[in-house]
Amino acid sequence: MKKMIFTMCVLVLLAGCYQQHDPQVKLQTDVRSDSLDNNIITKPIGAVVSFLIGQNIKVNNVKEVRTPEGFLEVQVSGRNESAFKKRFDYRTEWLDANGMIIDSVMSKWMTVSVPGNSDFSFKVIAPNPRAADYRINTRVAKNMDQ
Amino acid sequence: MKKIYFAIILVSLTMVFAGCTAGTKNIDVVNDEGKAVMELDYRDFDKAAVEMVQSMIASGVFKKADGSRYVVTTAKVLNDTMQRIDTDQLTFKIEQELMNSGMVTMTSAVGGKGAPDQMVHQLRELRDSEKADEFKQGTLPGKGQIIAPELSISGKIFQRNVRYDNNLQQVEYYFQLRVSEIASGASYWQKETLIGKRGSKKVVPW
Repeated sequence: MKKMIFTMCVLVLLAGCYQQHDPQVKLQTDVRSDSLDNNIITKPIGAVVSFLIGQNIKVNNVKEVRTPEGFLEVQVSGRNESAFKKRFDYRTEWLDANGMIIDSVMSKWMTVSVPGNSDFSFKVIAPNPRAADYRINTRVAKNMDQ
Repeated sequence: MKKIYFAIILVSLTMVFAGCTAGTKNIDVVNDEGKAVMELDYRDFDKAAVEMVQSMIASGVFKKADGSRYVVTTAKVLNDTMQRIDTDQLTFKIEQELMNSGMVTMTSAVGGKGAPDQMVHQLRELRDSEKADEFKQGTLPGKGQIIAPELSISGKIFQRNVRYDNNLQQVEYYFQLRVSEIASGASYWQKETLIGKRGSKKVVPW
């Protein structure tokens, strides 16, 4: 009996020490944003988000527009298909026509919170009109109240 | 003998406590996943600045009919929190991003805290003093050269402490900014960003 209680205590302790695997962002060669002429569904970004956040967040639409001032504006839409609230952080890096990163204050981690079985969308706007492309990375949101 | 034992225990304890001291580490400011704090930290200012700038750019408030750039100044941004905050932590980022956007020119001649660059006025004081003779004529700034700002950014940051339950408190930080046309006083854009924190009542957020 004592042995069993001891084993259970050890298991509980070990369970407490378990840390969730921290997934890494891996952009494959074909992962890129779609062009302004083809702004219907950007599966690669959706695949990255789904891979990171779990199988329940699906990105199904990415729209791009140029504002009258020439700034590239991107709207990412999707759905949380789980019954539970999901949160994730995203960070956008903007690239110029040569593929060089545009240094910007706006490339910071921002949080999205989605209730269960609900649609979500977030918008990002380029820091200047030179931005021609972008990449959006994601991670699990931490430090949030339940 | 007792003295030796005492010395050994003392040395051992010192070593144990020295081992417990957390070493200093640099913060990964790009991918910081450190714990949240009740006070405003740099991540909160980053978040507020991003939301403000994105909204400003998307609104098109800085688009001038003739295609030229607006000259903009930052007026007073009031710190009405319980913390000692330099509001430049917010406004400097916003100014930087607006300038990099190519839409506006920020002025260093006037601002809510005085001229951001005091040299603009110091050199003019020199020009009008007897020391002006020491300078090569024609290199001092002439009169009527400073361009007055057309738009100003102003606002405030304030804090509300709310009792959540017996053990927790809720602290709400409101960032409010607006863009006004100085000539007419008309306000063209404004935004509020809320950053809320919930934590132990024992932590005093100042």
